[in-house]
Amino acid sequence: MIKPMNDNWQKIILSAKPAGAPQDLLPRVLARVNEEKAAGPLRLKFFIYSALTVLSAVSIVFAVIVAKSEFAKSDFPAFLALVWTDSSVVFAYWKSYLASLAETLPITSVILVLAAVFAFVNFIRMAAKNVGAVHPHIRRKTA
Amino acid sequence: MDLKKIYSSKIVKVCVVVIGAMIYGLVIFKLGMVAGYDKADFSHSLGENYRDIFTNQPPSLGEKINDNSFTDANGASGKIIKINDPLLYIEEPNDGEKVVSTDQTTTIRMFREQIPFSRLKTDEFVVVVGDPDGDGTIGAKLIRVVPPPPQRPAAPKTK
Repeated sequence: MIKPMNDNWQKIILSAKPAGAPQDLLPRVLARVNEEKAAGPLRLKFFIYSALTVLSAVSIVFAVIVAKSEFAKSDFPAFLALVWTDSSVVFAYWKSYLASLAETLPITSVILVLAAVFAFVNFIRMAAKNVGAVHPHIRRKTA
Repeated sequence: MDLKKIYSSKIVKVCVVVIGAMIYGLVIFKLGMVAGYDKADFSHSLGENYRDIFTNQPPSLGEKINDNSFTDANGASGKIIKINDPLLYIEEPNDGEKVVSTDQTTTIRMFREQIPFSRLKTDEFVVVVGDPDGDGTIGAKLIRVVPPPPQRPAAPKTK
């Protein structure tokens, strides 16, 4: 005997599992929303540090140009060359020689170059620290 | 290269520490030079009333920080303009004229050989390493005769 169609449908509908969303969807969505909220300030930090990295890279170029000019004006290269040409005498009078080198070194220019490199390395480190805010796959990989 | 690795890299950290230490050391050295300039200026180096006579104003901080603000006392590099045994008068592009005194212990070298004082000539270029003497001359330990340097821009003199 053939059962009426209505009974079959009723069985199928009753036995079928409800086609709802996965149970962990809500926590996952909330976690992602929180992640994005937290990434906002980090993203800003990343862009600020990136801009500072570029600026410090440019300042390295200018500092090197200034230092090159200052070295050309100073007697430092002439004294430095004595290490190769008269090493035995230089080692014998090393105190006088070091004092000559220290006096002729264009210290201000060297400080400028080192400060620019120092800033560059630090800013690129800080930018790298916050890079996950802009590239989520890096954040998830390292989380 | 993974950017994240830059932040945690030991090499980068060491570089930061080394560069920071170098900056720190150089800044301290420079401050010492500025302080030394003040002391030397006060005591007698530039002569009493020198600045009143020639510039009518005390040196500014910028002049003290300037790398060319003070004559180098431990060496000279320039052209011999006069020889008066045992003294050498050397003209420096940035520091004016310096008097170098020599004695029996002074090593004078040209190319690979050691030469006597009598072989030095005016218009030759020399690099001198020595110590400042009390009479305003440099007591030479080493005099190296060098080829004429290429033309270089003169450093701005402090007024």
